[in-house]
Amino acid sequence: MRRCYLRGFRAALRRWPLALLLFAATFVPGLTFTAAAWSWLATALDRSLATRTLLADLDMNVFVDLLGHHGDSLSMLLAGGAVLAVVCWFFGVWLNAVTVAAVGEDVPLATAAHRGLDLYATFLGLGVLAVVLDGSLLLATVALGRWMIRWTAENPSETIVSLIVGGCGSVAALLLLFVTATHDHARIHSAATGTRAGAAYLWALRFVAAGEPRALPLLLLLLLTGGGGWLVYQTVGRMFVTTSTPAVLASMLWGEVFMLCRMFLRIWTLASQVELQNLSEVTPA
Amino acid sequence: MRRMLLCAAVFTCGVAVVASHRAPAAIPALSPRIANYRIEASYDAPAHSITAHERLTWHNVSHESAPDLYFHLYLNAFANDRSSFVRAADEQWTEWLRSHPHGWGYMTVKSIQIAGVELRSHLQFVHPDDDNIEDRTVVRLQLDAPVPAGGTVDVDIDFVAQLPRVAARSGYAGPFAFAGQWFPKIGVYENGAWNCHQYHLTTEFFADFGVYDVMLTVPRDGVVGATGTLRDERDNGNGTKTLHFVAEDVHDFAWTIDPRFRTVTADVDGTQVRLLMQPNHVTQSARHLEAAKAALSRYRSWIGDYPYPQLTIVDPGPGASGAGGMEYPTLITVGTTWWMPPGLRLPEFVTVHEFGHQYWYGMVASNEFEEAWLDEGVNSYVEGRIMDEAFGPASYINVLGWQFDSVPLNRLRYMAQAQHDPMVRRAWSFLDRASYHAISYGKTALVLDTLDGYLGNHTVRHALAAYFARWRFRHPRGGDLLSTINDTAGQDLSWYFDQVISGTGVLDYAITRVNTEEAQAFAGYPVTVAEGGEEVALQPTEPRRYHNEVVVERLGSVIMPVDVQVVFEDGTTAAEHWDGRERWKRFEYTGAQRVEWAIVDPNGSMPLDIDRLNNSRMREGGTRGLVRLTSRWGFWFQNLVYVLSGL
Repeated sequence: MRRCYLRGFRAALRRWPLALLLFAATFVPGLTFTAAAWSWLATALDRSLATRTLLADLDMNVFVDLLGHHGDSLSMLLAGGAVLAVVCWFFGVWLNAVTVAAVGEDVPLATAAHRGLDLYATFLGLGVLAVVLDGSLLLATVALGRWMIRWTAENPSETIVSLIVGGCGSVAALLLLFVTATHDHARIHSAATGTRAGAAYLWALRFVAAGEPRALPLLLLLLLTGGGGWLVYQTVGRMFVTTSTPAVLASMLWGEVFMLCRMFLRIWTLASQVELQNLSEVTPA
Repeated sequence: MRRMLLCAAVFTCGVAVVASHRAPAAIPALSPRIANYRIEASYDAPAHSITAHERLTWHNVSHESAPDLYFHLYLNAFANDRSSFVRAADEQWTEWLRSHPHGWGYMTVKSIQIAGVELRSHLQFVHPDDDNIEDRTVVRLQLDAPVPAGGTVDVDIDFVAQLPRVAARSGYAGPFAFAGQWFPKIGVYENGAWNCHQYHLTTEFFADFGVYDVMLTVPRDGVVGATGTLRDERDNGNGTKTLHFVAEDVHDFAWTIDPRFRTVTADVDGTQVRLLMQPNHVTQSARHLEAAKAALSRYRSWIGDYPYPQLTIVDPGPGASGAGGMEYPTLITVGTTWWMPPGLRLPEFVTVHEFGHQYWYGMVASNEFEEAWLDEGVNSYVEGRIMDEAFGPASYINVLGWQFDSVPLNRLRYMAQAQHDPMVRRAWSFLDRASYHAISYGKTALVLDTLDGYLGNHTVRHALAAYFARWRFRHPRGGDLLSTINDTAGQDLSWYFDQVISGTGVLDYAITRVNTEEAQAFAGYPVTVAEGGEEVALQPTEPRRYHNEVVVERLGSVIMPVDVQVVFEDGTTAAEHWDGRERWKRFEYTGAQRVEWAIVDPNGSMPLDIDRLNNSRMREGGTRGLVRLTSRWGFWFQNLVYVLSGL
């Protein structure tokens, strides 16, 4: 596992242009949404003093008024954001294919981009499968939790509700970890073997559940690495007192550095799992 | 005046009657003591039922004889799905029933006697508030002989109260039980008619003061809290114990039991505060206690004395949150969770709010059914003042950078349903619960806040103190509060009250124009009577001068005098005042400076203003505030895209 982790890191370092591409793929939508939000907020605030004072004073009355008097246009902004997010998801499917191709087949970025187009349909299928499974598991966990809370409604203990919520939350987290690992390995497997989405997913299910005991720990380690990065980001981020324009700009810059690191981590994660599949004794189907 | 004399007579009569009825009170009677109860009740914990005998001694203090008596049987609101209470709850109740299908409760009268004569056959359910003939929450007793004006009647009642599973206010959940509205309680006889409303989803309180002498027999392991003070406790030797509570000068009696309660006590300026906390909430006792201290001390210094020797604060058991956030004389219910973040001051504000009801409802016993703003609204106003003073600028919420004090919270409440109902409306006649809450709580608090801003010097607070002094232990109406405010302010404020209390219009002043143009020197023909003269070309003045225009508009229907502040480029200001009557007012300035911005209500003293964004306007809009917010939102969106693109 350590070898996969480190080799994945080195592979990701080599793929820094890819990290830039992934970063741009989130930065541009982020900038687009910022522009839309700016337009909405500038219209809603008109030329009120809030356009100036919000920098140093997040007066809740302003937000109450925005919600109360500009709720409809805010809904439109959010709806526009939702549409943009869906578009980004479709685009992200291709980027994932490019990433897996780049780290799995060790080809130049241009070649990987072409491979990404070839793999798009399979990755889209896997993506839909992942969304459906993630959503179903979350809904099932919530439904189970609600049922258990109702079932224990007459239990004279408050702790039982906390236990149910905590238990269901933990189960959901474990299931999501499992589904994420399966999804990643299915993508890597299908790119390597040309297997279609359904078959690749079934293979990955066997791989993660029974074939390769290091699959889940490796992903957990990578997620913890990401968690550590998030802690560093938050710790440093708290030092910015965002009540002046330079501090806001510095905070924004720091946020983008963090996002770039997350892109690097995504490549690192996939590269490490590619290494794991290569090392694994499980025979590809 | 007539009313005051009547109350004085009642007061004297009440003292005399009660003195003959029971042992003399330790302190002089504070109230008229019209409805006095002696109750012996036994609680069957496994069955969640109360079997009791009640002797009511009622004095007819009106000028009319009473041919009948009206009683609240409020637990019948939970008897079936036909009560007015459940009908109003609608979907909320349906959802609750899915979880608790066997949670019904009821109250039955086994016997009702006057002078030993059984009158049960004379009972008849009535529904004075609506056309719901299936509502069983008010019963009328036709008397064989009327109770004459100034007369007294003793009524003996045997009843059974089956507590419902807690959905709202009363009931049980596990070993926890809360008994509110648990006994047949007489209505208020005034002007020859009974004021005895049905039990409603939004309202339940209006009763006469009296003395409650209550013997409660309960399981021995139960920790009990109740209205009044515990006079005696004895172990019956059969697994039960009997507690004797006496409450004087109150108009209701509630009690609670739970073997899990942990008791925390403290003396606050001579008042014994007793917290009954759930075991896993004990760590939050300090929060409740701090809030109780903040409320007690400020109410005492701002409004008037809290005359009772004790205050009991109840933390309902798990699954009984519906019983939380309620007020009863000398006993309030609160609510929290073990994980409540310190920045979310729910335990604090609920404690302050419910304690406030000891004044606005408890002692100043206005009619909640008919004028809920008098207790809920006035209480919300004082609660806000206390919270803001005791807990600082983020007095209600201080979580993840979101900081709320009382004003934005009340504005949020109010703006949800600002224009459907006036403040003066029967509680069950509001468009819906949201409108009831928006108006009775939010709008009333903002109306008083705005009035305070207009009058200054804490005049509203002083007026409330005067109102309390005049009307405690009586039943004031809205007009009584308003006339007290007029007296304290030394002016007739009916122009304000008529608009905001009786009307549904909104207050909204806005700066709609801040224009500046360069002043020009003379241009054109200097025409005289005889000739046009030589044309003078248009050219700027030297040194440059500007003509500035600021327009304030009244966009709402509520008229209010307003202050306007105009700020120029060099930082100088011009303070203006406008009576606000016309639809708009223009202010013009010519000078070397351009107007930078203008603001109406610069001190934020009119929180009732429905839109404060339009209160200010800059000559040129700023961008710094936009940068901070939109960059943050954009970054959040970027993170969302990152997560989605991983799928």
